[in-house]
Amino acid sequence: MALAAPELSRRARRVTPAGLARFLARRLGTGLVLVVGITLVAFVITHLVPGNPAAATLGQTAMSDPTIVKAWDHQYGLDKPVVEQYLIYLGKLAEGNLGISEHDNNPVLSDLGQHIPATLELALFAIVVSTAIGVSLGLLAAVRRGRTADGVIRIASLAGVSMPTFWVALVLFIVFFSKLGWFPSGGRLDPGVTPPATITGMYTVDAILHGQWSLFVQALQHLVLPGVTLGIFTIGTMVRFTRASVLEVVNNDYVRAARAKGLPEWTVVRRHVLRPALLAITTVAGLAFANLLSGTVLVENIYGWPGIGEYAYQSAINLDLPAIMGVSMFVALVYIVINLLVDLAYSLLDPRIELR
Amino acid sequence: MNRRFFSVLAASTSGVALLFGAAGGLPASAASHPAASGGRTLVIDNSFSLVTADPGHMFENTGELVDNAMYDTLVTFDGNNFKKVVPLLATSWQVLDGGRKYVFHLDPKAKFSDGTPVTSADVVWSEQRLVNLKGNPSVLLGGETITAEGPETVVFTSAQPNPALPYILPNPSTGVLEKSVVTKHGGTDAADASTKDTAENWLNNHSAGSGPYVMSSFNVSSQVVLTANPNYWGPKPAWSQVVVRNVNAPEQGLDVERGTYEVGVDMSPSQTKSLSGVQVVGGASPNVFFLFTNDNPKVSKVTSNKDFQKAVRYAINYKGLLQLAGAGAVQSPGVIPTAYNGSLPASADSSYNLRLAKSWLAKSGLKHPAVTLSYPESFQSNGIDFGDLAARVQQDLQQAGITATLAPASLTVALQTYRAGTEQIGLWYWGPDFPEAADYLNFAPGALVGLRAGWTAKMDPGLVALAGRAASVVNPAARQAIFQTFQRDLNAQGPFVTLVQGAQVVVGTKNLHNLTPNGLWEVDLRNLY
Repeated sequence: MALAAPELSRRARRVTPAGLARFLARRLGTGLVLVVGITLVAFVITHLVPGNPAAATLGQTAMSDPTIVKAWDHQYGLDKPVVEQYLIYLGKLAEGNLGISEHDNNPVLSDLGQHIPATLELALFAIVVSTAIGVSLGLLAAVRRGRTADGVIRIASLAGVSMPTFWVALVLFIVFFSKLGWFPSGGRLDPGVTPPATITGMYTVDAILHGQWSLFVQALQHLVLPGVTLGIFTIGTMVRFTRASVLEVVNNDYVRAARAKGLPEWTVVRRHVLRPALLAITTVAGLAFANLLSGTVLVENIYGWPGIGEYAYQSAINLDLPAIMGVSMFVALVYIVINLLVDLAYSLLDPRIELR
Repeated sequence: MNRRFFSVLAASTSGVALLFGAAGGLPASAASHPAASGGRTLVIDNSFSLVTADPGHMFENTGELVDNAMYDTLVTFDGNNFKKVVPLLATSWQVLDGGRKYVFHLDPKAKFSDGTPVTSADVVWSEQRLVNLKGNPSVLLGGETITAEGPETVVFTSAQPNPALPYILPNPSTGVLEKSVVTKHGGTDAADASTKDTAENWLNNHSAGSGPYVMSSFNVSSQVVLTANPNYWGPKPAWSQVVVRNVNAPEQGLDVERGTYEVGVDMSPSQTKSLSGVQVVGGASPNVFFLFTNDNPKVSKVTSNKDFQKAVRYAINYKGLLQLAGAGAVQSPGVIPTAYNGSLPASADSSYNLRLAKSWLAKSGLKHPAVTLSYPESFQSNGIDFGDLAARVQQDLQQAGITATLAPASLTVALQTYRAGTEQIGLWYWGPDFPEAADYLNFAPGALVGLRAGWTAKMDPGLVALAGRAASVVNPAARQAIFQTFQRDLNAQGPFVTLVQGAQVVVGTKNLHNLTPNGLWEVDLRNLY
C-alpha cells in the first residue's frame, strides 16, 4: 500500500478547526471503509488457502478422532457456512472483538495488545535513530556535493539499502554479542528479569515512568542490535532522499539570494534549504515507519523479539485465521493512520497546503 | 558552511553515539538479576513450540518441557530410558485382568506446591478432565475409565487390554492438578468440559501441580519463567529459577557459549560443529523419517506395484541419508524407534543394493516409471530439511531408473494431501504420541498411516490380525517378539520404507551435569544440575 499524495492547494490558507474536523471525518470514514474491505480480502484469501486450520493445530492422532475435530471446529465456529462466519466476525468486530486465536486460545485483541508495543518500541527506536543519522548525512552529502564526504556517504547509503536485513542481523549478533559481548542476546530483557508494570507496553518507556533506571538501561541495550539492524536500511533510504531533496532546492534563486544577503550558512540551510526538503523527507519517514511497523518479521525472528512480526509469522504457519485477520487489520490501520499523520504534517510544514 | 552547522549535525548523531556508548558501557546484567540474589538461574534456549501450559490442552514440545517440571505424573521414565517405567506419584502398580485393569498406589508423601496432599480424587479429576476437554492430548486416555478406590488408590479400566498405559502416563499432559484449586478457577472434569472448562487462562499464569517447579510467568512468544517449588516433596530442585526462552536454533549455540548456566535444545549436529567451550550431547531422536509408495492403484498404478515398492526399498542409499542427518542419527530398521521396546535390531536395517533395485524394477514390468514425491516444504525436524532429504531420495531413485518429480508444499497444504491418501510417494516423519510400540500400529493396513499410504485392511488381513493381537499382548517378552514380527512383515509386505531417525542434540555450558537430550521433554529439568 502506498501513501496517497495529499490533496494540495498551493494557496496559502489557514487551516480552520472546522476544516480540519471535516478533513479528519472524511479521512476516518474512508479509513473505516478501507478496514472493512481489508477484512473481506483477508477473510477470502485465508479461506482460499488449501489448508485446514484444525490440521495445523491438532496432532495426527487427534485429527483421526472425529469427536475431537468436531469439538475443535465448533469451538472456533468453523462448522458454520463461510458467509455466516464472516458476518459473525463483522458483528464481533463492531463490538471490538477480534475473535479468539486458534493457536494460543487467547483473544486476538489481547495478543495484539501484547505484541504491538514490542514492535512499536523497536520501530520508534529505529526510525528516530535512522532519521537523525539519515537526514544529517543526507544533508551533509548534498551541501558537500561532489566532494569526498559525498562519495563516502553515497556508497555507505547504497550499502545500507543493499544489504539483506537478515544478513545484517546475523552479522551484528555475531560481532556485538557473540564476539565482543557489548550487547545482550535476543529478547527484550535478560532472561528471567521481570518487565516493568505495563503502562504503554514499551519497556523503555514504562521503566522510565516507574523510575526503574537499571531496567531502562537494560531494555535499551536489548533494543540496540535489532533497532540498528532495522535502522541501517532506513538510514540508507533517508540519506538518498534527503540528499536528492536538498539538491533540488539548494541552487534555487531564493537560496542564492539568502546567501547574497549574508545570512550565516547554517541559517540558509535550515530556513531555505532544509524546510522545503522536509516535505519529501516526511513522506519517506512516514513510509519507512509504516514499513518498520509491518515489516519486522525477520529481525524479530532472529532476535527473539516478541513483536507483531513474529506473531504474524506464527499466525501464518498455523493458519490461525482470527490472528491473520487481526494482523491484516493492524497493518491496514498503520498505513491509514500514518498516511493521515503525514498529510497533517504537510500542512504544518507548508502553510500553502490546504487540507480538504 | 559555518561551525554551527557542524555542531548541530554532530548533536543529531551524538544522541545515537551516546545510546551505543551507554549500552555498551554497562554490563548486560545491570538490572537486578535473580541469580545475583543468591539463587542459580538455568536458561534453556528453545525454538518455541508452545501454545499452553494447561496439561489438559498441552501437546507441544516446549509445553512438555515446562509441564514436566511443574506437574508430577503417576509414573515416569528414568532419564532417556523409555524401555522401563519408574514410580513418581505412584509407588507401585498392578496389572490385572489381562491388561484391562491397572491399579496405582499413590505415595502418601506426595503433596502439591501449596502443601496439600495429592489424593486419588485429584488424579481421577485430572485425567477425566483431560479426556473430556476433547483437546489434542485427550486421545492419550481414550477408552479408559478412571476411578478412585480410597484416598491413595487409582484404578484405570478399559474394555480392551491396554498394555501401553504405563508408557502413556509419563506424558506431562496426564500431570496431576490440584482439583480444589483448579475447580475454583473454572476447571471441570464433567462430560461437557470441552465447552464449560475455563481454567486454561488461569493455568497459563499459575500452576497447580506437585512438581519441583512452579509457574512464575508465561508468555507463548518469549519466555516461561519457573521457580523452585519450596514445598517439593521429592529431592530439592537444583535451580532457584528456570527460564525457558524462545530462541532460534542458530543463535542458541552462540548464547550457550556466553552463558552462565545455559542449554540449547534445537541445534542440528552441523550447527554445533563450530562451537567451543561447551558440552554437546547427542543421541537418536524418536522421530522416524519414512517414505511410502501409495498402495492405492487409483492414486498410482506405478507405486502400488509390489515389485516397484521392493525396487524403491533397495534403491535408497541409507548411509548417504545418515550423512545428511549428521552425527547421532541412526538408520531406522522399522517404524518403532530404536529406543523403544519392540524395536528391531540394527541387523534388520534395509540395505542399499542398486543391482537388486534394478532387478525388481525390471520384474515390475514398468518401463521408465515416473512418479511424484510429495513432502512438506521449508520444514525441518532434528535439523533434517525435508527438501534436502527429498532431493537425496530423488537422486537415489534416479540411479535405479525411477524418475521422481519433487512436489513440495507448505506443511499445512502437504498435510492435507498426506492425510487424504492422495500422494504417490510421500516423505514424512512420525513423532510418537507416546513412547510405546502400540503407537506404531497406526502403520498397519487400514489404520491411520496405513490408509494415508492407500493400504486398506482388505489388502492384508493377515497383518491386520497380527496388529490386533499385538495391541493386546501384555507379557513384555511376548510383546517385544510380536511387534518385531509386525515390523518385519511391514517391511516385507507394506508400502513403507523407513529411512532414518534424526540426531537430537543438546548443547550446554560445561558446568552442567546430567545433560542429555530427551525424546519426550527435550531436556530433563528434574535431573539436570
